[in-house]
Amino acid sequence: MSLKPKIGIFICRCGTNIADKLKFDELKNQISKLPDVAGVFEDNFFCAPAGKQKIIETIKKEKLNRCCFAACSHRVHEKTFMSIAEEAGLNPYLIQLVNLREHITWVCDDIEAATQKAFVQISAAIERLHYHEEIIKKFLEVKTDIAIIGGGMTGIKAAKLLAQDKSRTIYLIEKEPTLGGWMPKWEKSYPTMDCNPCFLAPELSEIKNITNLKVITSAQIDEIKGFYGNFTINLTQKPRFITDSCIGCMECFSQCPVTVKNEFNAGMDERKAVYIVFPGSYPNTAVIDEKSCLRFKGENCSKCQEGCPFGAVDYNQKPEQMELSVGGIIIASGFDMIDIKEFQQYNWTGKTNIFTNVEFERMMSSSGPTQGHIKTRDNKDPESVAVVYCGGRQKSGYCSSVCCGASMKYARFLLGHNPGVKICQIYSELCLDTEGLQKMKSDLEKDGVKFIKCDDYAKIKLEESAGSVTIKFTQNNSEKSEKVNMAVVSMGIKNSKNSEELAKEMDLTLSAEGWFQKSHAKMEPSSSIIEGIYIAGCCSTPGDVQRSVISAKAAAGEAMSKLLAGKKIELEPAVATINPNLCAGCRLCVSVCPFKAISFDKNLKISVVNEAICRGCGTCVGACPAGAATAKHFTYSQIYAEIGGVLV
Amino acid sequence: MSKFEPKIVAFVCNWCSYGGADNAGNKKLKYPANVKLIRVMCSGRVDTKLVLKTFKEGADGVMVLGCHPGDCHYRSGNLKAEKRFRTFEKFLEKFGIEKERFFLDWVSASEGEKFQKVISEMTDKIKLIGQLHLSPKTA
Repeated sequence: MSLKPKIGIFICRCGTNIADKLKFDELKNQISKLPDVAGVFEDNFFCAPAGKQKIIETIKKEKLNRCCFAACSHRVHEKTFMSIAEEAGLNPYLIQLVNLREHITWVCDDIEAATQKAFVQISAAIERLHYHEEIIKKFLEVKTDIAIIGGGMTGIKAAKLLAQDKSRTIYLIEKEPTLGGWMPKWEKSYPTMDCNPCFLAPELSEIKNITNLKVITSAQIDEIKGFYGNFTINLTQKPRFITDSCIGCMECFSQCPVTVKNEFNAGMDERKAVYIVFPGSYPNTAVIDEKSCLRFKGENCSKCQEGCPFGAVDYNQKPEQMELSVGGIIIASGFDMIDIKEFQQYNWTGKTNIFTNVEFERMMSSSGPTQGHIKTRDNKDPESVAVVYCGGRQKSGYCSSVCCGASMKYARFLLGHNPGVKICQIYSELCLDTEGLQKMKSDLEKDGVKFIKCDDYAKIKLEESAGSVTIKFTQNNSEKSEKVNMAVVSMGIKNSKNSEELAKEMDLTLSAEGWFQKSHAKMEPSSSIIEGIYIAGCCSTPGDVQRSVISAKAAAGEAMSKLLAGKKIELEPAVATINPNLCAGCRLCVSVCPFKAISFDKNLKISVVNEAICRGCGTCVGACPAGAATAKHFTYSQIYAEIGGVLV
Repeated sequence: MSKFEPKIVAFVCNWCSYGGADNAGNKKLKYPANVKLIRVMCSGRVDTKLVLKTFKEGADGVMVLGCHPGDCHYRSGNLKAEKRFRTFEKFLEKFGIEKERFFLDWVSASEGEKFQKVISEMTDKIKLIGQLHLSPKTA
């Protein structure tokens, strides 16, 4: 813009709020003499319809090409004056607002000092306006594709719901080689004692026929950047070393000479170095565990390749880098069990008849280490079992809400599978807030299960000697104990380690208990603190399958309604730019940018701003030692002019 | 001779400390008129060049006010500013500027009282130190 500045100053009286608190006429006279000021115009309320009209008419009539509004706070009326300027045909960045009201007349009783301060701040605005440039607004259409991080039941249900809209591509990203998360490890669900694999199997097998649902397993997230409507996810998919030709026939397993502990069965049995995580998994293809496979230890073994009838073994598979462009992200990164090893009171070693809940769950499974039979470590049928509640709560400080129901599930399972078994449940507090759980408890009591209320879950102690477990606790302040063949400690859950990593990567915050912070705990429980990122399942708050599925569908609904095709969002117009001729390629700006909006161009050896991501904070400008970075609307020349102005 | 009225410039971020000044205004809290405000989007935008320029142009004191740590509208711009200016403060004396003439702090948009306090205290402090006379070499 090369026109000679023709500046109009619109000074608002704001009723008496400004006009009566300084020497108004004297001020008007002073500012009318500032350089390139074409006129000073006043009104009682420039923000009122008549005032607005007056501004528009004046700008047009006087052919003003810059305006100073000496009125109230930016926070109150900057947008108002910008849109008035626009309506008058003036670029909204060719205006400058001076806050006479909140920053001067309301805080200064000395009328002389207030007038002087007002003059100085207006002078600075006029100086600054000489350096203003037009900035053109940019709009970006939101991307409608959505990524879901975490392929447990929550992620699966959210993905399947979203994928019903065939115009979208839905990415389901899972770090493990298979979908399902914790759910496939639970044989039964409480209180109905439904067969979990029976309803999980169709959920998983349907996925392969959903063409717009892309499942990415063995994925590691490298970087997430962007904002609502326009995120970029960079990830690496680790190789399976098994191609898609695998049909999951398991022929190769018997060939493999390596056996390692099977983590899916809580380490209670073994698997091969080539394995399928669980029968019926998705994808139902084998995977080679690089850490234990002889070939990856430098030995010349190719037994699985030789044994594969489909030629599906490929030792040369390489990690694959992927870049996904999506409009929104649902985080369903699940939970971890609280580690029993952190609690000496439970005396768990994995060798005695003190079991964790996960070990017990796996024994319940027909495909588990004991084929669905509950056995002591020396493979005997237990005659008495104690279930200890609230494992780890003394440290976590919260109720995990799912362990009471699960603990009662163990009792119901034992009654059905181990006739005559004596069961006691040792608890100090109960959480029976799921439909049917109260009745489950009273039914169990009718069937002879003893519910023993102790004083404090934190003081329960387990000891084993000669195959028997003694549980010591206090009841009404007197020492009590129960001696059983087997004890199960129901450990609580905590947010997963992945969630913590994601929170760091995405600048999300975690609550005091460690769950993802919601946008509003009550009103916006599916939204994270960052627009376009939604949260579901146990990483958001602990809950059973039903609650996780509800939250999955809520997050999916939220994402879908916010990412409608054709919806446009206005980008921050006043972004940073980097002058390629001045940039020395030091990358300091890359390291300070809070939004990862700056990347280093390896070919040009300079930093480059992604204007769609930049939010215009100017931190890169403050850091750039070469003076190559500029923040539009807050350039050095603009701020220098303002500094000169306030120090007249 | 009239008493010394220091010239002080405060760089305020758009989201918190500018709001803090508004909050002081809304509550009609009174404070000296010596401090003039320059609004930037984030305290992270304020660098040593701007602060030195302000001293050079005749300021007797310079303030940088940002969002409290953890509250930055731009996530961490304020922390970058803090890092920058904690180092900068150590070098101020070399420019012939007493380090008390520079002040960095956090004011939230609801802290009108704090805004009033830091502005008043800075004004009093600079009144005691007196006018800044930069050597021609520095200037």
